[in-house]
Amino acid sequence: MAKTTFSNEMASMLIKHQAVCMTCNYHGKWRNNSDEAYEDAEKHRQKPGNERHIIDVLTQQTTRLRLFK
Amino acid sequence: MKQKFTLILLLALCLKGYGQVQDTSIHFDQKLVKRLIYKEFANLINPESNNIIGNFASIDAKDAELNFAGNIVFKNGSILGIKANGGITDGLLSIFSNTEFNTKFGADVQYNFLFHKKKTIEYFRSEYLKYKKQEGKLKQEYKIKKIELEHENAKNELNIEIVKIQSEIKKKEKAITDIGKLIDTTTTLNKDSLALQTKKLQIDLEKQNSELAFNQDQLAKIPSKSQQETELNNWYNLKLDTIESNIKISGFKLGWFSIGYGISNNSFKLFDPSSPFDSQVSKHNFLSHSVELKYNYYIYTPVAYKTFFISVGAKYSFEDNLSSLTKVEISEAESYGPNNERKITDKYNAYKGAYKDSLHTVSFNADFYYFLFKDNKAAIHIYPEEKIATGIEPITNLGFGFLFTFKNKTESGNIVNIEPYANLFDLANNRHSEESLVKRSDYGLRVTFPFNFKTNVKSK
Ligand SMILES: [Zn+2]
Repeated sequence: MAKTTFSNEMASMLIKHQAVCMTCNYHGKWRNNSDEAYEDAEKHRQKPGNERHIIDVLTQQTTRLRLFK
Repeated sequence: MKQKFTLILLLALCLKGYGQVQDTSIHFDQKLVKRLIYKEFANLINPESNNIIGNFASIDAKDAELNFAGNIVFKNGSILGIKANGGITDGLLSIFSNTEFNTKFGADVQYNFLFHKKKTIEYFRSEYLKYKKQEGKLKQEYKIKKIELEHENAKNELNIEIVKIQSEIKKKEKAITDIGKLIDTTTTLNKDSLALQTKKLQIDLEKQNSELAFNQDQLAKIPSKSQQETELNNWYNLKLDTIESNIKISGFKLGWFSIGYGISNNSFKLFDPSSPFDSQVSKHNFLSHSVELKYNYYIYTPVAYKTFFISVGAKYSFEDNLSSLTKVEISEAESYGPNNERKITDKYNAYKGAYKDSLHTVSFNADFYYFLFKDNKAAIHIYPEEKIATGIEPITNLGFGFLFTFKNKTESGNIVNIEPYANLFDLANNRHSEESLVKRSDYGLRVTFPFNFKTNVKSK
């Protein structure tokens, strides 16, 4: 058990977030902080005609193992 | 002392900062990612590509060809794709008009090396938060059950129940003796009514005695603490598996190598007008083999106009040149009757041209899909190929397709994919065909039915 945890810690992780509109084709910039992506979502919703759009935040997670497992 | 305080303050600040980072970058853990990617990947990959990843059945109208593919996902994440195909090379329409057919049967295996050090997945935060909520709820339930187990709650509750029933029984027994005494001594009360009351109490008493026996039996049969603990942990793991397998992965980014081996048998007729009449049409059979090495790269994302798939490969084949021959329709008539009034006609296709087999061919090919619109509903498909063979001119082929996917509203899977395509054969006419490029090319419609059964991958 301890061994597995150890090799898991040999991984690097990269996470970024992006606002994506389900109603139209809008997508925001990739952000390091999910809250920034939520702010993008609200900015998009505030534009005229977008009030009823459904917007979610897409998270991209990249893990890279430093050791071959 | 002051120094110590500063140190503690600094440490606290660092921890706070660390906590913030943790909060904004909540993620699925490494093991789970591994599991998800392999489970979902086989479902998400497009079966239209020459990759045999994904489970699907497809029909090609041009060749009247049926493909059936399935795959096995290994614990290390690699995928073995297996494809079987069979068809009538004369085309779909010939089924209704012809009496004999040229056929093709084959099988392919492809091993995809997917155990990469780098893994990228995409998921919506709403999905992630839903998962986290379910996980939290389960953890809480587990904790409560664990507390109950620690304190032997089941035993305790049974004991309480037993004590309760025992006291009830005592009360009833006392009531019965009291009524008995009353029957013996009374002069004013109705003795029949009292007897009936006794009877009722005796029935209740019997019921409660049986309940007591049942509870005592249950108490004796309570599994040991360690057995209960194992059962509880299994329950928890199974529930967690279910929750995890419901996580929806919306995208991924992956590059991988694959190797493939294919075998195919062509059965066909050749037509040689220069031969004597009886031997103009001859039956042939050829078994071809091929090995292929590919590199594939797939970016799949729910964001429109950002999804593409590319694969480049080199293939060695031991094959024939049947595909470059011209198809001709032959009809043979037998006449009956004194004036040949009755005719029976047999119609079939044969291939005309210089047939060569046992050719060593090397081809370089690419396969490119660029997905369009919201939900990746359609794709432009381009697949060029450069073929070099011993003894014949090298050729360049170019294929185009436009893929339409029809998705199920509730599930992420496609119901059907339809692709009209054109295979431009020998672009530069290196083999000096008398037919124009338009004529010597193939046009068709591929219809694919992916089936998205969940491959159950355990990578624990
Ligand atoms: Zn929108």
